[in-house]
Amino acid sequence: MPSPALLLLAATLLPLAAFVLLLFLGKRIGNPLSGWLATLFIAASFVCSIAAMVAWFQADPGHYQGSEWGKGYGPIDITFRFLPVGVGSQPNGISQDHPGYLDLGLYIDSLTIAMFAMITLVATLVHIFSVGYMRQDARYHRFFAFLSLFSFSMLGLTLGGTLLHIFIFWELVGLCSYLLIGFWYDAPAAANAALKAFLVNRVGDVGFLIGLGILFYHMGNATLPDLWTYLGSAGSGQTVQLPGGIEFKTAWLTVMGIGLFFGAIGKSAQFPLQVWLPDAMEAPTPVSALIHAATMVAAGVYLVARIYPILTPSAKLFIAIVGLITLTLGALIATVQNDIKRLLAYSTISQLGYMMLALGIGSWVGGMFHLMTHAFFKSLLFLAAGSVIHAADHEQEMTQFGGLWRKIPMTAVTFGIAVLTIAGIPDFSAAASKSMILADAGAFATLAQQQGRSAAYALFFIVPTVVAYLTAFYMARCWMLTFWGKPRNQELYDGASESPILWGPLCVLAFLSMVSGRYLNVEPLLESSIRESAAVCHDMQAQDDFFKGREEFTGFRRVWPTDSSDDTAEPLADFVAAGEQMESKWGYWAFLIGGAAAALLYCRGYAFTRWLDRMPPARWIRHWLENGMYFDELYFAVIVGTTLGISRLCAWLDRRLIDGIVNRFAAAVRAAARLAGRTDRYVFDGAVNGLGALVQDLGAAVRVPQTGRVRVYVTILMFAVMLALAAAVIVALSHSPG
Amino acid sequence: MSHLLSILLFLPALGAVAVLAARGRDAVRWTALGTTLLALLISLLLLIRFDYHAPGLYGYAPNHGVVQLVERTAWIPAFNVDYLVGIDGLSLPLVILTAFIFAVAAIASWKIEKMPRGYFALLLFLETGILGVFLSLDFFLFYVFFEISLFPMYFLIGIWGGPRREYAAIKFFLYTLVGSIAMLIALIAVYLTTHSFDMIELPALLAAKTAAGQPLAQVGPVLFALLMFAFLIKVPAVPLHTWLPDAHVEAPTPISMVLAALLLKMGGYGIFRVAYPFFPEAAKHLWLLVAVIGVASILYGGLCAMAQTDFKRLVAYSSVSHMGFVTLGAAMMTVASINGAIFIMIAHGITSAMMFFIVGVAQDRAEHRDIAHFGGLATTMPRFWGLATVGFLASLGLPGLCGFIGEILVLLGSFQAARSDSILLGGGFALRGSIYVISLLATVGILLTAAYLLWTMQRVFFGPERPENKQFREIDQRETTVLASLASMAILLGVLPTIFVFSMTSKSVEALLNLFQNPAPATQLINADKSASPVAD
Repeated sequence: MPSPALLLLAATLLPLAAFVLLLFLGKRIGNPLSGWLATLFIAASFVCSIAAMVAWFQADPGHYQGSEWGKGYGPIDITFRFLPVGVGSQPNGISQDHPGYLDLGLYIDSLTIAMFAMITLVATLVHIFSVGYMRQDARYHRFFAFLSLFSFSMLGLTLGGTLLHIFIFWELVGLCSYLLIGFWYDAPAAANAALKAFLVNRVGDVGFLIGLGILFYHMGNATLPDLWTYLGSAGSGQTVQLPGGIEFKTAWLTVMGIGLFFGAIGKSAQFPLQVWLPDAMEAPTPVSALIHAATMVAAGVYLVARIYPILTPSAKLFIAIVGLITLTLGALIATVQNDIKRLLAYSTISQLGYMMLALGIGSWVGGMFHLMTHAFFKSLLFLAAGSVIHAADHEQEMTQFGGLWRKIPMTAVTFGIAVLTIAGIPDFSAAASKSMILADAGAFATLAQQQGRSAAYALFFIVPTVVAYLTAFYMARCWMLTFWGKPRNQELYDGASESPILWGPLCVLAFLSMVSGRYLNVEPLLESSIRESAAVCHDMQAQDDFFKGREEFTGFRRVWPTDSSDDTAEPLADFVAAGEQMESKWGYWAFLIGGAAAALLYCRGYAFTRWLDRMPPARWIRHWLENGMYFDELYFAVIVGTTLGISRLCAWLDRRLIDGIVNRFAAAVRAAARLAGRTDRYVFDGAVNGLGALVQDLGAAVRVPQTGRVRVYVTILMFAVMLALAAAVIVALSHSPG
Repeated sequence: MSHLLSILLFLPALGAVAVLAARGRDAVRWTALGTTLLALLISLLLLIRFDYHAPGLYGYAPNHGVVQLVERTAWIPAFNVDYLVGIDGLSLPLVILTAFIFAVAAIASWKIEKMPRGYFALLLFLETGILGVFLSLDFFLFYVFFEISLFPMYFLIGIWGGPRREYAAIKFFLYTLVGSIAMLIALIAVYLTTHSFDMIELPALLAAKTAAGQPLAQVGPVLFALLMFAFLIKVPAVPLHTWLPDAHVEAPTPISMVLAALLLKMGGYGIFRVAYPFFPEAAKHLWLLVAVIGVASILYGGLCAMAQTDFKRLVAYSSVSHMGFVTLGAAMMTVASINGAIFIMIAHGITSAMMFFIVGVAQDRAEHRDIAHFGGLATTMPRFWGLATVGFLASLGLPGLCGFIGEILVLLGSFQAARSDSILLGGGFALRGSIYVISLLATVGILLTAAYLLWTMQRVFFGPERPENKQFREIDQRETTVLASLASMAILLGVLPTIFVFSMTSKSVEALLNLFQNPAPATQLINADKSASPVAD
């Protein structure tokens, strides 16, 4: 059995091969063969992932003893030289693999194995679904090319062992999202949605880069294990000492953590960057299922999980608060949506908020567990919605649905299973993950109270629990309005039908939604991942003299709000028990109460809504929520409007002012030239000409007596002689004696 | 092949003469294309002959400073001017880029109707001029080639350009000439002090003169400012950039490609080859000014681009914005940032050539450049859209394509400058706070770039097909060749940057930074007081 690393690499590259093939030969291969080809490749990828899992479990006992499941196959850490950043940047000798270079790298542990299995499985099912769903589309082969490219990018991201590597694939995933949201690019709405998605993600990426920059200048090149080992003590809220005498102050650690988290805010549609996800529903529904439910949006959660040990308590609190706000916001808005996909989009936002909350309060396993289960039931919800939309001839408004369970029963049943799952019916997958989160939230709140912190910490338990009821409510409402009661559009109802290629994947996903809580070993894999990573770090600490006398790595341990470093081994068991009690008391029956309420209120379709609308406050609230709390309008006015305004100002400035100076300078030079020309012509040349004129005048004056008339000459001569004689006489007389 | 560089340098000029002598339009074009392809081949030969492990050019110790394939002949002995050409890790990628872009431009110029003989001859003379800038290692020769390259460009814009071509051409020419005059003053000053034009020895000689306390010590910053003035005009850096939009808009498409891809790099190259090595102390003292200019170019260029309605003008401003990263990378003086700056020069050469060609195709089909009147081109010309997407994405810095590598290195490099052992912080030239602010502002720049580029792509390609645009022909084989070759280079450079660029540049960058970190030890340079130097080649 080849090594898991090779298998996972093959799993990653297979979709890339499919992309290249379909890009160049897609048109020739045609419809539907290109779809089946892509499906084949991704299914092969899935097989490789499962094979890797099997290899992972079967390996000979090796180095790491920590895990029961990942027996002996410790995490695999491989790096590739990529960008030169100078030998001098690493006096501290972190990550000796390629001194002077920033590396790309792979890091494989149980979490990676689990993620691969989940991603490839969901992707395969979505591919199969798309073969049927996209059959009529003219650019069918292009669709599958992009889906394959996305699969490659997402898998590459999951493999990432350095933050630079993750960032590169992070952006690639964003690109695929852009291409797929804008797939029907002749529709302006789709093109706008794609642009919005990419730019909002880029806003998050600015934060990511800032975090990366701060990390880079302290640590230089570092793989994930390096980060955990050297920065693992960040969780206790103290300054971290790095080799070489470098200090990584808590304030900077927090900024870095929040910066990196900002990328996750963008990618996972958290508050305040959640605005792109509802619009992203312009994408074909299979895209929504794969990208905007199961995988890409999960990438943000995955990133936070990977950087968890290097987050300071302040950063974690920030994450928890953002998660808290997001889960509330998403659920509230989802409650009044009528477009089935937008409803599911806001539901996704809410569930991602749950995951972030979990990670923020220290429930690493809870958050990642929910990520896995969410992938299954949310993609099921989206694909089922796709089946509904397909049956309804591309209508998405629930106001036109009603009573569809009779026409598309398989869809109705599987959708119902998904609704029950997300509501948290016991024994289905989401119940396990959600109850874990709520239990940990309860423990967190209890511990905070014990430590005498502000009473507001209780909100960390109260709010998610209340929203759990709300979640059950709005999902049940969705099912009721779509499938129950009387048809509201008879024509649509008559034309509705479903086909096996659509409900086949739905059944598989429904099955997974039911069992993935207990029977797929998700939880053990996650816990094993923590143990493996901790083992790697302990090993690194043992090998590096720097760590002699320093505390052991405890980065993945649940870090509760402490401001002292006195959290010894597991004082938390009591609080965990208390939390579980709170959860079973308050949260267990959420599915029943919320679901039953919705079933009662909406069994007659929109009658309840119309009744509620008669009261103005309810109507206003409904409008406010229905429009996504007007975030889009706010952002457009403030951010887009301002930027466009400034850009026009700059362009005007450039043309009038700066270029104006240049042109005026040129004009001044031209004026000076004219002046010089005139000076030359009138002054200097004038002087020269004037001199000539003067000489001429003088000559003319001197020339006057030369008349050429002899009589004149004789007359003058006669006068001259007379004058001379007279003069002579006078002289002679004056000299005579007398 | 001992005179490889001279052959490469003068081959295009000979080709130009051949073009002038050729009979008939076809002969003219094929001769020109053949010449550019031959030049490209020779430049690729250089890749094979280059020693990748030799240290870079600059340094102070004896036997540092390896320049390869050097050819030296006395030219004007009375003034110590030699014909001196050579390559090192900094110039080699630029030389290959030049040969490649000119070959592509020759293909792009195929349809020139007016006086093709003159056009192609001027194009080839321009190639010699630009190659000369990158290859020459004698300051006087460098200056000569720097000036020579202006003339063909002036004519090419002024005769074959758009409606305002005379204005644009003379503006371009005089503006850059003003910069060159500043460089001339510095050149004369340098000569009067050191009596040498040899760019290999000059850093050491100048450092010795500065250490010896001669007038140069006081005048150094002034000379540095003059040199930077000359090069920043060419880069172009805000606020000395306003010649670029007009020159680009009025120039014909292939000339815009060459202008953006190569002429702007002469400015960047000058900074790294001349300004920084000659006056490292002044460079360190004035880093903030250069960094602010860089960030201003990034943000201001991006904002101006966003407001444009003329497609070509938008791409011109995006060039200003991208080259701002080069200026910033130079200012921050870390290994990552300078490697990044050099990489951006190469990457931008490819992406800007591609973007201008895209504009050219659109203009050719529509007879106008108004973004508002395009739209739906992805439906009308799908193959064009596919290749154009690569251009847009490379330009906005998507990982996997060439634009990303340079940008991330410059950004990370700016953060790296905040380390206590960096040149700027360690030498006490900077405050940590200013480095953070600069890095932060530069990071925001990537958001702007994505915004205006994708918005433009949306306005031009997406949306319903317009009835007036329905007739546009899909790109033909020639146009596909140009776009595909540029696209493949963009992808190759993005995926394998080390093989393609960094293997050549890393050593040179280290050598350059050595000049900044190690002040010239006075004892070693006692001999350097005379015009003969201990510097080997």
